[in-house]
Amino acid sequence: MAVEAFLQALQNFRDLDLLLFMFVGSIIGIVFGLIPAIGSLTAMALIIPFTFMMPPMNAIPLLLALTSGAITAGSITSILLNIPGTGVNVATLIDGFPMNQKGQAGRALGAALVSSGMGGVFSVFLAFAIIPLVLPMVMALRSADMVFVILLGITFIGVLGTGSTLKGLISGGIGLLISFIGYQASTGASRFTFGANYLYDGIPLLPVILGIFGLPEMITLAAKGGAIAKAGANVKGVRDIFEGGKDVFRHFFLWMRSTILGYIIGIVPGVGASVAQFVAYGQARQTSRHPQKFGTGTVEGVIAPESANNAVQGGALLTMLALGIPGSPDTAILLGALLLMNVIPGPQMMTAQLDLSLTLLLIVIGANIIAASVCLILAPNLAKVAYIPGRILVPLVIAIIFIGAYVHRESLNDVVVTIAFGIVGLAMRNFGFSRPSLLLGLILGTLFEHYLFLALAASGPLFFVRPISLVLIVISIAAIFQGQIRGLFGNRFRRQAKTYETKG
Amino acid sequence: MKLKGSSYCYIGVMGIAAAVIILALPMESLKPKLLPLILGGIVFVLSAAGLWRDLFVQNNKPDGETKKDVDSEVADARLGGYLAIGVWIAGFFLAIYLVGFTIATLLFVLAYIKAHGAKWLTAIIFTIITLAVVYGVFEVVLKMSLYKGLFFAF
Repeated sequence: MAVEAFLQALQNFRDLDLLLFMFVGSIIGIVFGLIPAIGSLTAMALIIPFTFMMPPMNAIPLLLALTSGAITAGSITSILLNIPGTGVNVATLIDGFPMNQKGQAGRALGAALVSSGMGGVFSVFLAFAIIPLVLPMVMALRSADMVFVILLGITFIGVLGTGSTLKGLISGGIGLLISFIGYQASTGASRFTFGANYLYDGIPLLPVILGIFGLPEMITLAAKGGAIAKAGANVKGVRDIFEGGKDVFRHFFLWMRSTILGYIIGIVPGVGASVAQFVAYGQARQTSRHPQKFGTGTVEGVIAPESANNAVQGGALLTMLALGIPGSPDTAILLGALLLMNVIPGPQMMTAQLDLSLTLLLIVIGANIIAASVCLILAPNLAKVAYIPGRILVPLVIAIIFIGAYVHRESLNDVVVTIAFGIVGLAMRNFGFSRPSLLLGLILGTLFEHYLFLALAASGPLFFVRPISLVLIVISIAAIFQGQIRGLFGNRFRRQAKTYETKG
Repeated sequence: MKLKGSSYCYIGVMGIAAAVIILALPMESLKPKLLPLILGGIVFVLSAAGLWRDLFVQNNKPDGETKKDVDSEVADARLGGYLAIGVWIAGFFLAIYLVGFTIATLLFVLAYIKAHGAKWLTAIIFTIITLAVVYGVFEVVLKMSLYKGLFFAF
């Protein structure tokens, strides 16, 4: 079955429209990736309204390629302007910008773009390799297990992100509460609608996405004032760009380690590239023969985070397709977009629709190759996009957000919801609450309730007494109390070390 | 004991969770109210814990990178700046309601760019680009009908 699906995926991938939208998506992603105020999350939210009228096989390549393009291009401004294009390129500037200051901008760019592109491509091959292992696991899941898979996803995305555990969990909880607005499918009862017809079908997804991811970035940029990047930043020539590409092969095992690390982090629901980049940077420093050079402009400090941040994509996409649980914030928005297109990720994507899943993975390969190639050729000129003044970017993007919110259902109420969630998103952004957690709670809330009542009907109140469910519960609890567990073991090891010292 | 920005967020969330519980309690059947009651309770308790931590626990450790990255931006952006952009957004929405998307977008983009110190030529060029995107993509290519506004509805 898998071979047939792969052949069908190859056939799908040869479609000219698909290739065209993949190319356009990569280019749009590159442009958004170069504008630090926007980033891949906002970019995806902004592009979704343009995809309503497209067939899924045009819209999905566009959105997938956009993420690859944004992540790849984000390294350019990190290195040339000391401003990360997206949140996942922060670790790159630790060594990338010092390399630029030392006159090695081209080498840093070459290393970043080649390692990023290769990381993205290799992660997909890893995903292909792991599918035979994932298939039986996914087939073994029952309704009861799905309840805890969803809880695990919401817990992980809230807890293991970059913010606080408590705020992450509260954000996921709010998302779940919002998902209860409207009529309940199993009973037809109306909940929290206050008699408003608008709320009967629940809070629409797109205005929420545009509100919590798009508006807050623009409001902050407008409130700060000025340009994203100041003129006069150190943009140097790129004569040694190919030298940087060769550096990736000189440090091949570092690249390989970082890519595998990024891929594994991608599989874990909710963690994403913003964590992977620092983990990869840390292991590169720990395993280096000259760790003291890190932070002063060493090429290994560029290769490691760039390989890992793009490798997350393959793992995150596989988790999202197989379980319907996003592996990263980008895939959380992609999940929302797929649901809007009536493409429902979940176990069936690994069985009946395996060819579609494999096609999506092939698109990631193509998009990464396109993005890395375009960036390598145009890198020094592309950085100038970051000089766009906020006063021009803000009204343009806000206008697109409002129109985007309106066009899906042609309702002005959706624009009001966008503004309301823009305020909520701004507060969440400024006070460290997790916006992807809220979105995930909102997306998965209905499904969570559906599986819970199915499991209760089938197995009664003790539905969770199943090996898989119990393992998932233990992992969720461990994730919530990971800080305390680390502290407990840390203290124990410290006590043991102290005892040995005393004995010694 | 001083309330921080996040403390107000916790209080707001506690209010929402309490409202969910109060509204769910009178529901007749158990099925629709089961999860809102459980999750509303959990969110309320977690927010109360967060508020308690904000008020009574001395915590100098920032909440990871998010806090660190965002704090400098929050400091950069003055309250006046937030209010100003709030007024712009409200004005834009009011204009959409009255004169529809096309004219409101034209007015908003032109006025915003010009009011922030750009030359007329720059403001006009970017307004035309935005209108071309709005009209070209949504109305011509995607064949979507944009809201015409209260003044042009009759």
